[in-house]
Amino acid sequence: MEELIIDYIDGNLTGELKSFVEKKLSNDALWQKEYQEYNKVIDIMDTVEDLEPDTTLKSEFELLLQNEIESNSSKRKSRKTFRFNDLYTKIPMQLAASLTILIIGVYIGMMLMKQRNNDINELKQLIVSMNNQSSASTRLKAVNTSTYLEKAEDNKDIINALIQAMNNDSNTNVRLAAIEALEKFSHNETVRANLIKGLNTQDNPIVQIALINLMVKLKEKKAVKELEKIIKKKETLDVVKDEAHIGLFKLS
Amino acid sequence: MTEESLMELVKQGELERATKLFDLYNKRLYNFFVKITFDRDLGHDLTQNVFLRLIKFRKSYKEGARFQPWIFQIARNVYADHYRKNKILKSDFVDVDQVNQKIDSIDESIIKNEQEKMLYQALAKLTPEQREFITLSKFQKMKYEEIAQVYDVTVANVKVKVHRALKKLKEHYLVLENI
Repeated sequence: MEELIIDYIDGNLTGELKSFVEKKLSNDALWQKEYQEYNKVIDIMDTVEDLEPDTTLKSEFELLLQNEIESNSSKRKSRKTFRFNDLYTKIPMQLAASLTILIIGVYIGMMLMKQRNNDINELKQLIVSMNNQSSASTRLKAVNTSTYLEKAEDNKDIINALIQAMNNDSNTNVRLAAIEALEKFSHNETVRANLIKGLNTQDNPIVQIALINLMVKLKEKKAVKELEKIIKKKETLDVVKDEAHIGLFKLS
Repeated sequence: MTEESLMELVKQGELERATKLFDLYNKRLYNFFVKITFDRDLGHDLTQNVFLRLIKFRKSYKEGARFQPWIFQIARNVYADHYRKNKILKSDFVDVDQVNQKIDSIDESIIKNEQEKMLYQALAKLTPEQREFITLSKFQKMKYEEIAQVYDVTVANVKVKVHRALKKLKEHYLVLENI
C-alpha cells in the first residue's frame, strides 16, 4: 500500500494501477490516512526554500582555480623540449628578435630611468610609512607598488614593512598582496623564514592556500613540517588540508 | 553548451570553463550538504572541496558520462571522507539537543515555521544514508535513474531506499507533531 501511495504522489503511476489507487483513496479510510500523512510531509519538503551560500564561496573558488591555472601553465612551459633543428631555423630568428627588443628596451629604459628613480623614492616612502591607521585600499596600493622595486633586498625597511603587512594587517587582500610581493624577494633568508612561519600563523584559508602554493612553487622543502602541522590541526578547514596534502606530496 | 561539453573542455585544459560549472552547481551542492549535515559552515567547506576535486581530478571524467551524477558522486565521496576522518559515520546527531542546536544554527529566518523545524528534526533522526536519498530525491528532485548512477546501484534499489527513508521520515515527523 505505502509503495503505491508514494508512487501515486510522485506521479509515477499510470493506467489500471493509477485507477486502482484512486478507487482505494475514495473508499478506504486506511488508504486515505496513509495518503494524507505522506502528502503532508512531502508538501512541507516542497515548501523548503534553498539556502544561499556565502559569497566567499565563489571568491575562494576563483582563487583555487587561478592557482591551478597558474601552476598548470608553468608545468606546460617546463615541458617544452629542445629540438636540434631549432638551431638552424627558430634560434637565429629568435636571437634577431631578442636583439631588436633589447635595443629598443635599452633606449626606452634610459628615457624612463630618470623619472623612475623619482617614482621609486616616493613608493619606498609610501610602503615604509604604511600602517593600520591608513585605509585598506591605501595599504593595498602601497603593497602592490612594491612589485616595481627591483632592489628592495637592499632596503630592509621595505622587506620588514611587507612582512609586517603579511603577518599583521587586518585586511585579507592586503595580506595576500604582501605575500605576492614577498615572493619576488624569496631568495632572501628572512623573507623565506617568514613565509614558512606564516603557514601556521595565518588563519584565513585563502591566505593559507596562497602560502601553501607559494611553498610548492619555490620548492621549499623546509615547509614540509609546517604543512604536516596544518594537516594535523583540528581547526584547519578541509579545503586547506587538501591543499596541504597536495603540497606535501609535491615537496616530498 | 551542455554541462558535459564544458567538463570535457575543463578536462582538456580549459580550466576557466569550470567557473560556469561552479555557477550551475554550487548552490545545489551547498544545499545538499546543509540538508545532510545541518551545518552551513561545513556545507560551505564541503562544497568548496567538491570543486577542488573537480579541478584536481578533472582527467578522471570519462568522455560521454553524464555530468550531474559524476559531480554528485564526488560530493558523496567528499561527505564520506569527512565523516571517516571524524570517525562519526554512523552515530551523528543521535542526541536530540545536539540536533536542535544544529537546526537553530542553520538560521532562524530560514526555517519558516514550526512544521519546517519538525521536518528538519525528523530528518536528523534518519541515518546519514537515508538523509542523502531523501535530499537527492525530494529536495534536489533527482530521478531514480539519476540517483542510481550516483550510487552505482539499480533503479529498483534506489526506489526501495527512497521509499524506506520516506517512511521513516514520516514516522519521525508524526511523532514530533503529536508531542
